[in-house]
Amino acid sequence: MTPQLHLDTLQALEEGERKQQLQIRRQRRPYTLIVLPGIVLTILFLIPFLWGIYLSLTGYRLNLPRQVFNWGANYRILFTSWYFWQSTFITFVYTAGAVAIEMVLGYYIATLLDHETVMSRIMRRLIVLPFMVAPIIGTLLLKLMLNNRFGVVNYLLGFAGLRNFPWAASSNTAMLTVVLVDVWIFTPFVVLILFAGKRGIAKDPIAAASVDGAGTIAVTRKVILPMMMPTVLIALIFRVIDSIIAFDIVWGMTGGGPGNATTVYSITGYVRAFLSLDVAKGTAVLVVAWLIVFLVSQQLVKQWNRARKRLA
Amino acid sequence: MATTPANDSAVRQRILATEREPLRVRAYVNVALGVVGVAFLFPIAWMVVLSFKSQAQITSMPPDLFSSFTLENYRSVLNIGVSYSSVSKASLMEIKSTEFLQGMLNTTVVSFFSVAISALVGIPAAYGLSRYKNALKDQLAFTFLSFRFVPQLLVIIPLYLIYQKIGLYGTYFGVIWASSLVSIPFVVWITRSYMDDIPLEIEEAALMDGHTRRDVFFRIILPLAKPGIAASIIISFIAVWNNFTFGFVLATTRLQPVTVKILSFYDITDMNYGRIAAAMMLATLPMILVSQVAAKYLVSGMSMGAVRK
Amino acid sequence: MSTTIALSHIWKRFGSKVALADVSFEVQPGEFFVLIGPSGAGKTTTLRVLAGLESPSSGVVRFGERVMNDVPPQARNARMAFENYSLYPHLSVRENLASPLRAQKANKREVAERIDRIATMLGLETLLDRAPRELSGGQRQRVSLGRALIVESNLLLLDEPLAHLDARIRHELRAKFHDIKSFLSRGAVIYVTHDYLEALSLADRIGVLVAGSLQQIGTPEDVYYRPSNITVARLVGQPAINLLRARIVTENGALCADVGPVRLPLSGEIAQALEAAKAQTVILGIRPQFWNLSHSRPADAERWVEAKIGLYEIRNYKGVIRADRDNSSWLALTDTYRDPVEGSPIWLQPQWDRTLLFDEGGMRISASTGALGRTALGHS
Repeated sequence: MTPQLHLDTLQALEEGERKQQLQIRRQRRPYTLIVLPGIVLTILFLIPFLWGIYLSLTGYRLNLPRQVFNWGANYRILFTSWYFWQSTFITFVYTAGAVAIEMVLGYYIATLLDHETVMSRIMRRLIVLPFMVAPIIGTLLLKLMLNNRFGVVNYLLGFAGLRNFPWAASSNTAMLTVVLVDVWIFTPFVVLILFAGKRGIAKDPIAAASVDGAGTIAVTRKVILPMMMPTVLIALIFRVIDSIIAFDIVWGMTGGGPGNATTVYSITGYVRAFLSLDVAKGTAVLVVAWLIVFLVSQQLVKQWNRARKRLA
Repeated sequence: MATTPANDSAVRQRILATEREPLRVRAYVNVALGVVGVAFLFPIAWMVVLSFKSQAQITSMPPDLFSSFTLENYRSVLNIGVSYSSVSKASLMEIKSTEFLQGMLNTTVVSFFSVAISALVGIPAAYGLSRYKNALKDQLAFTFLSFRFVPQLLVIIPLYLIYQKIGLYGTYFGVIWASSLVSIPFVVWITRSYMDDIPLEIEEAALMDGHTRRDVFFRIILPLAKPGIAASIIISFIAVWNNFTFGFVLATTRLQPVTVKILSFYDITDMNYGRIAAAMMLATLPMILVSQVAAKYLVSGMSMGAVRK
Repeated sequence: MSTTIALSHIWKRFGSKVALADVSFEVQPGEFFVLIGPSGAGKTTTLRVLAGLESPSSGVVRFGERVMNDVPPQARNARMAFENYSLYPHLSVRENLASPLRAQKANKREVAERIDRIATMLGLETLLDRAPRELSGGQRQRVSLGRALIVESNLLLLDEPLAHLDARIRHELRAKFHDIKSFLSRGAVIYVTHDYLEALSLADRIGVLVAGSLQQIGTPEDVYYRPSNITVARLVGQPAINLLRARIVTENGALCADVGPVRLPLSGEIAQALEAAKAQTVILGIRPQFWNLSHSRPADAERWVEAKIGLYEIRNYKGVIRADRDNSSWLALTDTYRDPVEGSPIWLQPQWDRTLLFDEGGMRISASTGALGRTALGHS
C-alpha cells in the first residue's frame, strides 16, 4: 500500500468512494424494486376488499348509500336470521356432496388412466374437456339437456321410466342437480391432478408390497394413498374452497331457487346486495364465507406441509 | 422394476402378473373408461351436434340428429350473410348476433390485457419474492394467493360502487383491471415456485462472469423459468376467459364478455337451441384448442405450481 | 491487472455462528495461493467474501488501493469456478464459455478466437455444442474452469475444483493446473481445497484455515516442515503426524524425553532448543515417515522404543505399520518390499532432526529445526 498519497488526493478518493457507495446502496435493493409494482397492485386490490369488509359493518344500502357505522349489528342480525343459517347449511351440503363425489370419482378415473390401454391414452387427452368449458356455459348446456320437457337426458331417462325427473325445477332435486353440474365440470380437474400425482410416486414400494403378498385394497390404503397425500390435499384444498365460494354454476342453473333450495353463500350475498339492495348484509355474508375459507385453507395447508415433510 | 429375486414360483407369477397387464385388466379399463368417456363427453358432443342442426330438426320428436347438417346457426351467430325476413323475431336474433361478436371481442380483449398486465407485474414480482425472502415478502406472497380464494363477489361489489364513483364503470380499463385479480395469483405463485427451483448459484456464476442483474434476469432466470411462465399464462388466460362474475356485475351491455352474453341468450320462452349451441361452441372452442396444444402445462397451472414436473 | 488482493481483519457472522474470525492475508498478482482446511472451515465463505457474493460483518476487502466492500460482484473483475460447476443448463458449452465475453459485449471475432484457444487448452474442442447435462464430471469441471479463464481478471477464485472427480481424472487435471499456472501470469489466483497434497504441489503459498481462523500462512515447505501449531501439523500430512506427550527430565546429566514407557536421551540441536525453551512438558511431533525402524533389537536399545506390530496395511502404495505399546500406538511408514509380521516386535526411534516440538498449548516451539535448518515465523 502506497503511503505517499497527498491529502487532497486522499480526499478525492474518499469522496469518490462515498458517491460510489451511495450508488451501490441503491442497487443493493434490487429485489424490493421489482416487487414494487406488485405491491402497488396488491394495495389497489386490497382497497375494495377492505372497503367491502367496512361496508359490512355499516348500514349501506343501494337506495340509501350512507355509510353509517353500526359495528357488528349486521353480523348479529345475520347470525340470528334463518336465511343465513339456511345458506350455511346449503353451502355445506353443496361442498360436502360435490367434493366427496369428485374426489372419489376423480381418484377412480385417475387409477384407470394409469394403465396403458387404447382408451386410457385417448381419455388422458379428452377428460379435461368439461373443465375447459366456462362453468356458466357448461351449466347452461346441462340445463338445456336436463330440461324436463325437451331435454335429451329426460328423453333418454324415459326409457327407464324416469321421464319426468324434475332436476332443477323441484326443490327436492335442485341441490342434486347443481352438485351434478359441479361434478361434471370439476371432476376432470381432480383427475388430472391426481393422475399427475400418481405418476410422480415411486413404483418400488408398490411392487414390494405386492411381493409381500398384499392385496390391491390394502396396497392402496397403506402404500399408495400415503404417498399421494400431498397431491390429494392439493386437489382437496382447491375443490373445497371453490365450492364454498361457488356462484356461477348455481346462478346459471337455479339462481338460488326453487325458493331457497340452493342459496349458497355467494348467491345469498349477491341477492342481498343487488336484489334486496342491502349491500351491507350482502357483503357481511360474503365476509363470513371468506373467513370460513381462510380458516379451512389454513388447516388444509398445514396438513399439506405435514404430508410433504413426512415424505421427504 | 422388480427388486427382489424370487425363488418361489408363485411369487414369481405374481410379479410377472403386475408387469404385463393381462387382457382381463385391459378390457376392464377400456370398458370403464368408455363409460366415463361417454358420461363426461356426451354433453360436449351434444353441443357440437346441436350446433349443426336446425330448430325444426331439434324439436321434432324424436330429434332428427343424423340426417342433414347445417351451418345456418353459425352464420347467424356470426352475422355472416344472414337472410332474415322482416319478422320482429328475426331482427331480435340479428341484434343478438352482433352482440355475440361483441362479446367475443370483449372476452378476447379483456383476457389478453389482464394476462399481459399480470405477466408484466407478476413475473418480476415472482422473482423478487423467490430470491429475497423475509416476513414481509412472505406476507405479500400469501396475499397474492388469497386473491384466488376470495369469494369474487366480495371484491366485485365494492369495486362496483368504487367504479361508479370514479367513473371506471363501463370502461374497458375497469373490467381489465378487475379481471387481473383473477390472473395475478396464478402468475405470481406458479412462476415463483418454478423460480425457486433455479439454484441461486447459477445467478452467482452469472454475476461473477460480469453480467448485470438485469442481464441475469433476462438471460438466465427467464429462460429457465419458461415452463412455469408458460403454465401460468395459459391457465390464467383460461381462467379470465371463462370468468363470469366480473363481467356480470361490472360490465355494461357493450362490454359484456361472451359468458354473460350467452346467459342473456338463454330465454326459456324463445330460444333457438341450435344457435345457442353454436354460440357456446364458438365461445368454448378456443379454450379446447388451448387445452390440447398446451396440455403439458395444464396440471402445474391448475395446481398453482404445487404439482410440477 | 497487477493488483494485490488483500483481506484485512475479516469477520463473518451468520446469525450467532462465526464463520470467519479475523482473517487477514494478501495475494500478489501472479501468485498461486491455496487455502486449505477441513470442511466447514470457512474456505468457501472466504472466497465468497472476496467475490462479493457475501459482505463481511466487519473488515476490509481491497483490490489494490480500492476498497471493495460495497462493490457488487459483477463490478469486481474477479472470476470464480464453483465447486458444483454451476454451468448454465440451458446454454451449450460454447455459450457457457462465451458468457463472460458477452457480459463485456465482445465482438464475434474475439469471442470465437478466445473460445478456440480455451477449448484447445482444456481439451473441449469436440464438446462445444453439447449441453451441460450431457457431460461427465471431469468435462463439466473443465468447462467451469474455461469460463473462469476466458477473460483476464484481477482475481481468479477456484473452489475445490477437483473435489468431485474420481482419482484418475483428478490426477490428470492436477497436472493440467501446472500448465495453466503459466497462463495465469497476470492476476492473483486463490485455490481452495481440503486435499493437502494438491495444496503442497500447486501452491506458491498456503493459508491454513481451521474453524474460521487462519492458523498459518507460508510456503508449502513452511507449512509442512514448520507448522505453527499441532492443528496445522495434523492437517498437512497423511497418515497424520504422531503426537507424543513427553516430560523433559534430566538423567545422568543429559536431557531426556520421558514418553511414558521409555526415556529417550536427547542431544544436539533438539536438546539445545529444549533447554532454551525451558520446557517441562512438550508434545513431540513425529511424522510417520520420520521414524528409524528396526525389526531386530538394535545395539543402543535404550535410545529406541520397543513395541509390537499391531497392524500392517498398505495405503496409497506405502506400507503403514501401527506399532502398539501398552496403551499407545504410533504410525510409521515403511517400504513395501517385505511384509512385516503382525505381532512381531519392532523398535522405533524418532529422527530427531525431523522432530517437531510443541508446547502444552499446541504451539510449535519456534527454535526447533526443520529439514532446512531454518526457523519459521508464522505469518505477519
